[in-house]
Amino acid sequence: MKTRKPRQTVSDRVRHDKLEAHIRAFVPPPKPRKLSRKRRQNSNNQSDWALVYDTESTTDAAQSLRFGVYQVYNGQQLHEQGIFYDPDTLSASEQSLLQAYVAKHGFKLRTKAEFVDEIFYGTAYDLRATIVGFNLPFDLARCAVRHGPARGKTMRGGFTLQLSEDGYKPRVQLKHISARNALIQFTKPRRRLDTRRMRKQGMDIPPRRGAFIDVKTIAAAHFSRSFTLGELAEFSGIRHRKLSTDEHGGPLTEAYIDYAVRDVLATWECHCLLSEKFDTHGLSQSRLSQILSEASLGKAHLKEMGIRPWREMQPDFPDRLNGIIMSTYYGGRAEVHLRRVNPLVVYCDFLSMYPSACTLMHLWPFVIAKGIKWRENTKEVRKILKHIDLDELQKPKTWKKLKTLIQVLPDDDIFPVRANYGSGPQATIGLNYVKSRTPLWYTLADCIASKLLTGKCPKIQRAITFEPKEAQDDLKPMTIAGGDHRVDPRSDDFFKCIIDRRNEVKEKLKSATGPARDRLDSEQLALKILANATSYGIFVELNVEELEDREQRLCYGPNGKPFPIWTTKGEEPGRYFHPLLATLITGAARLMLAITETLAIKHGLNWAFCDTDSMAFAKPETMDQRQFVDAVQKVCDWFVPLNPYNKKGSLLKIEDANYQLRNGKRTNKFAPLYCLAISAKRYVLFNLNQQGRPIIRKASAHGLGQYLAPYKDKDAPKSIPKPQTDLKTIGVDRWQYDLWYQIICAVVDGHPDQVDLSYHPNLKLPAACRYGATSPRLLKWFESYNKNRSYGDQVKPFNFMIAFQAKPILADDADIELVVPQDCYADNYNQASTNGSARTDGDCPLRVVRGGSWTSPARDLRSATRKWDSSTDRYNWLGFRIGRTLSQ
Amino acid sequence: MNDREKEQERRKQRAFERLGTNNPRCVHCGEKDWRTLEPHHLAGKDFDDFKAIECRNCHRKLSDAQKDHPKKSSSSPDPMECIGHFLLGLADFLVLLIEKLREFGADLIARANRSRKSEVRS
Repeated sequence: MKTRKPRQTVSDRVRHDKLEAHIRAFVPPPKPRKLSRKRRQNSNNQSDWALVYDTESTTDAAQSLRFGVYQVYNGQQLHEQGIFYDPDTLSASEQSLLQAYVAKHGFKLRTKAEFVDEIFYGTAYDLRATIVGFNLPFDLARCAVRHGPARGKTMRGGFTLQLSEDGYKPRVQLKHISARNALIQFTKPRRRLDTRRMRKQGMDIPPRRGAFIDVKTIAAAHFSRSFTLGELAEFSGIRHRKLSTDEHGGPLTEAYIDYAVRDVLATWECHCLLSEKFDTHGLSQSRLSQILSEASLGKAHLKEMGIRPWREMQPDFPDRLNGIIMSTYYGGRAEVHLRRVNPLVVYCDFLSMYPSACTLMHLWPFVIAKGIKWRENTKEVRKILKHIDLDELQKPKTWKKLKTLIQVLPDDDIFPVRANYGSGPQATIGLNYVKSRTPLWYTLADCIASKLLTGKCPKIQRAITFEPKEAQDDLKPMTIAGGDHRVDPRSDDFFKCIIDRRNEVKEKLKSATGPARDRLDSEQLALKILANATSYGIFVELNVEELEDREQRLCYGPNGKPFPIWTTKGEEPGRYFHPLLATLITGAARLMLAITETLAIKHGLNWAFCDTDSMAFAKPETMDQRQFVDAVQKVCDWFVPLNPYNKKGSLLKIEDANYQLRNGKRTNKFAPLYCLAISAKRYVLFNLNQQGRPIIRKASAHGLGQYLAPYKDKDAPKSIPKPQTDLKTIGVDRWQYDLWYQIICAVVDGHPDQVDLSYHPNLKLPAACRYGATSPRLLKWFESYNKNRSYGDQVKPFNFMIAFQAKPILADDADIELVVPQDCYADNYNQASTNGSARTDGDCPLRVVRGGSWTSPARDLRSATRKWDSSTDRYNWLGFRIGRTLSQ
Repeated sequence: MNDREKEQERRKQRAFERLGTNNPRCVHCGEKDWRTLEPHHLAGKDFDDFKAIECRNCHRKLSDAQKDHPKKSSSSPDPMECIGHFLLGLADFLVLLIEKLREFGADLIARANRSRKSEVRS
């Protein structure tokens, strides 16, 4: 995101960068084929049976199965437990050890093939059991005998695994979505479960898709964070904790088998605990195996209240309006204002920004409505914008009028713009002075924000105001988050109810002890997750699907007129897709930050950075600390009248990080807090001790998530003091904390460009990222490695790999240019230029790509090879790379 | 679980799948044995897919009543015709339900009388 100098007046600006703005558009998926009534029925409910299993693999590139442990439960009762192994990877002595172990502990011993046929299919599939594991895709792939790319609209881009040599057994399809979740299902078996007579009588049974539960997924959905099995076992306090071992890949020992058995037990206990937790939600229309994320939980709540999706209620809503709505969509505002300096700050954040925006703007009636109405409202909106000021914005009723989108002709107004600000391939969003001859659409909130920041009204060309239609018919009340609080969707504002309830629970939590405290804490966390899951993301859920072939689709942009595009990827709107709500919510959040910025300037404050729902106010040099804190308090107090909740107070709160720590706990006394911001979302907040060394209070790990820790926490350098608060509170891992510590020291000591990285020898090694072969496209990287190897020795789906990042040797960043050719793609050479110049006619979404790259087979490495790619895509194999020797 | 028990469990699970629930029960008489339960098309399988779980005895009674409904007019029936058949099926369903309610009502009163008499005797 682009950084700006403090805004002065319009005339102070001297230069305009000419940038191509990227606008979000809407590409409706083709109308779905109407399914017959019989196909829509779903009887895929699972039985009380469950299979839980875990595998241990070799530690080479193949990561082949060595042995696995399984348990079969009927309800809560253990029915059978055993060990299975791959005879090809275990030596005779290791197999003898397994035999001795099973004899001693009363387990059953099977080969991998026997386990698959008798337990996985014979019990789990046939008895409709739930299949449970931790990181289940990896374990399923260990049992495969072959794999291929998955087919079908939902699973395209994933794998199909064949587990049994019996071709009549259904295969398992897996599609990786993120590090936390994957879609898993059985394919249709070749042999149908219903007979011809049953089908004739209208009693056909839909294919059994199975119920797969990855405990990692459901834990992340319930607690909104990632866990390893060990961490989850500790966190949930189950009876059997995970054991530790260093024996992965070593000779098999009894202790290692104990370790594997304990893993299965811990997985099952975690599953039971999470299952109970899920049951407390009372979601009768959803199953635990359908929960893939916090958003799934949120959607399940809406479904439980009988709320039908907007797109289902109003299928004839014009796509041209969807195009306009999507063109106004920008995410939260994240910006750094004082970069690479360390000012004194007070860090504040908004109470539940998105749910608050929903409540203030009165958006719940849209969620439960039969549809939306719209009207041209240009005159009235011009009047509103002309008269609006901070006093008006302090009245809650003003926020109810913000459900409007405006077409403006930007003329040195401040608006969010998505563009290529730097040399990177990705367009980012910046809040800039914008001048454009093409009219652009923004939310009314963005126009008000611009007026606050520039002092002048944007030129309105057209305004459309939206209102909800009447409420749906079959809405029903429900109890939320296992408490005793009922929400009636027809009469209550769901978002307000959740936050009110959470505030009540947090109040009770202060005086609670023992199990009651745990229950209340769990309830308040569930409420927090629910509020966040239902108040924004689900309304702009667009799932990217890989198309079987390049397709032509219609694209709707800000001018409302469709134009054809050729694409290999489609965007399938999620169940509760409602882009109007998404854009209004984020627009309102940006307005909150614009108000905060305006108030800060009004009170003589500066600010260091803002991030979606927070801002760090910076102390001007001429202001003393007491005046500074008072001024910040005045900014916070401005938001008191906007608080829509029962518990009164300001929406903008001074964060815990601003207060002194005593024995790791916060006191009520302010401590000078410093900020070092490097770029948007990359910042650290810290105190300085008497020796002038930093005490980190909050830090961001943005952009570091893909790297593996260069050392374990226990090997952290002694030269860096331990964190004074919990690392979870700070928000980073130990190695990231150490790195921030050194960066702060460099800045404090006056040499910000010379960060001392000699504090740990491992930092001299290349940075390592974990890479998972999670899709056929990624696994293809190993095509040449896998060639001529037996299946067991190949790199298989969901194998973990380590990727290293080497320092550039031949070229520095400035010399690397990834460009997309100018030549527009056409199926033939008709009308091609004869002088060798690029063809530039048409909309040109696809460009010609010639020759091959380091990813191509040898036959493609010639200029005659002609392919195409989207003009917006950037890959490291697409374009030209020019290198030169670095001059020292 | 031996092979016989496992096979029986498989049949049970397939029946549950067919019936769409893990706790099936006859809507009219309350029978719970999965081996006797079947899905019944309320409007007749040619007209609507809505099904209710019935034991074989109750199912036979309802299916018998359906035989008196008008015959299908064409291979793809009109929506109004489907609704009509659904209502006729619902009427049969309610008639049987009323019969059962009468039986249950009379039975409960008889039980109450019996227990009162035994109390008086003691």
